[in-house]
Amino acid sequence: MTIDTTSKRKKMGGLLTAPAVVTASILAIIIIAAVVAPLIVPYNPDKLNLYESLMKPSAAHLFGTDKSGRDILSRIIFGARTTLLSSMGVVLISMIVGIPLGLISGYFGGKIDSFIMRLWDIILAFPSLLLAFIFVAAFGKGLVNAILAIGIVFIPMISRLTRSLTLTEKNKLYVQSAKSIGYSNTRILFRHILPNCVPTLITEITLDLGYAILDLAALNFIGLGVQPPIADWGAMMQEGLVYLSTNPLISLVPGIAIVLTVVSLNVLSDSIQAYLDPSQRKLPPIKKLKKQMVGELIG
Amino acid sequence: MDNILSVKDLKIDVISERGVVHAVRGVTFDLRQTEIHGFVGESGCGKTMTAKSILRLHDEEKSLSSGEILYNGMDILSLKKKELREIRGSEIAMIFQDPMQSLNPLLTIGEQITEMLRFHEKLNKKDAYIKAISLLEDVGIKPAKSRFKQYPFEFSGGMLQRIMIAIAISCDPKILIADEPTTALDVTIQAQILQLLKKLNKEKGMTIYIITHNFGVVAEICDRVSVMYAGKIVETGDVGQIFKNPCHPYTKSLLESIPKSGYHGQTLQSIPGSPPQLFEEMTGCPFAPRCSYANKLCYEKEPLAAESEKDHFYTCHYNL
Repeated sequence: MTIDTTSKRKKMGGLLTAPAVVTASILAIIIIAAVVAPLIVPYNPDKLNLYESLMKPSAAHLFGTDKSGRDILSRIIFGARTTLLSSMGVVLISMIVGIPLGLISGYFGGKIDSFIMRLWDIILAFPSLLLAFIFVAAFGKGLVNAILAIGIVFIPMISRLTRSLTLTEKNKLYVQSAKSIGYSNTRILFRHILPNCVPTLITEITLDLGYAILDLAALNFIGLGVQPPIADWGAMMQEGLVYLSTNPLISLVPGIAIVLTVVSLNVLSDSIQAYLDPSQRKLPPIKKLKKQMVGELIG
Repeated sequence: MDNILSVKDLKIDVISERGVVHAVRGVTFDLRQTEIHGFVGESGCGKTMTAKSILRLHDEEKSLSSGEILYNGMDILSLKKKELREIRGSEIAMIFQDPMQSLNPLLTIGEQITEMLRFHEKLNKKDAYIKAISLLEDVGIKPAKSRFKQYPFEFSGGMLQRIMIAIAISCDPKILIADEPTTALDVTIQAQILQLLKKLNKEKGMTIYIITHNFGVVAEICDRVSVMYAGKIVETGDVGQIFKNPCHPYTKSLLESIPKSGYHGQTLQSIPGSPPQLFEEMTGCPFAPRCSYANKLCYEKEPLAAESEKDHFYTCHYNL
């Protein structure tokens, strides 16, 4: 078997499977829509128009209007901005703090490990939303503080996962042989152990993105996060709860948007995970391989 | 011949859940320039622990060590972390038992060899590539250029062990420690790897410390042998001396338990009992309970090293 790994196109081939392409395009559409939102929305998302409140879907308002007469489609498009940015902010904070500290505590063990892990225990001891309340109460309400608060709440989960992955990796022989070669601890941690943890971490991160959207929505619901009239999917879902029986679309549309985003992220992360494993990446697609084999047998 | 490394009265106690294990209980030996020194013994007798301690790879937080490991006039056990890192890989290198697990699965083998060269020898990318290709050819990976870009899972165990050797010798270490390098491989590959080690020893004058529990391996490549039992060296000598004239009863029984061809219907020889637990201090000879020659003296007094012929030492009360 000869494999020409020099051509970049062939290397990318493993990533371009059907589910990956579909979900990547969904996410691309959502992100592009969020970026160019002011250009494509039919109405001003924040403009109140009480004459048109709680309208059913029509040609003028594709998904209808909410209780204040704002166009839901426009708010969904604008909401993508706040929702995506804030949930990514949450995950980014938890990653930047959680992953290095998890690596360190797993690899070195001992007192550093106990110290870091007890720190996370303290955070975990509080219900996550309560901790976020305390944080917002201390530093003032607003979107940035809500992101910081939930970001901190998310640190222990990712940090503990990284630690346990490091614990299994560090006892593997390749780490021993890296040590016997004389590599420094930093190099072993970030070049050898971390890449081997990434596949599992990616799954956790995409799941966290979904949870972050939901937790932020909860904060927004009690008015501690996004301040009205800024559009946000989570906040919109909560607003529409009252009208669920008469006008379900107000909640349903942002709900579907959240589900679509989170599911796409998960499927995409699965594909990336498979791609990151070289032994899976280098396998040509099974179906093609089978066809080829049948052709060879008959021919 | 000069000694390149001398270990003096090395003791390592490992703290485990069941108590303190005296894994290495006073090992003294010399590695001579350009020799291949074999270490033989049953599992758990301290061969690997001794080898690891030469690079200080044993878990230092969970163990206590005493004694000296002298290399170039430096005591490895008391070096600073940074000095130690400079010795690891570039002066003394190690290969492990299971080559399948010894390489990082996410990096191509080329990346792993060049990483080593760039780290220790500070070569630039291009020089490292050229040197890596020639190293791969040296250990018999062909065609080196295309295999350079492959991942560890695309190689067989024997090939991976060759690559491990290529990485280990890439910075021309003076000593190569091989911890059962052929145990995970099948017999034909085993012979090839041993030939490769022998070739390195001849051509580059590399001293090799090889751990094995196979006397066949010893007979094939070693110059000298040390037999270990219960954390101690019980007999040391030239390969010829050990095979012709084993002086310690343990060495004798080990040699007797090698299956021989041409004897049908005979039961395999084995040594009754199992090696002692190393939790408590022992009085007397540790091998006494399994020794067919043992008497009262053996249980009461620990034997000292005796010399039977030149450079042939054994620790037994009796000259058998």
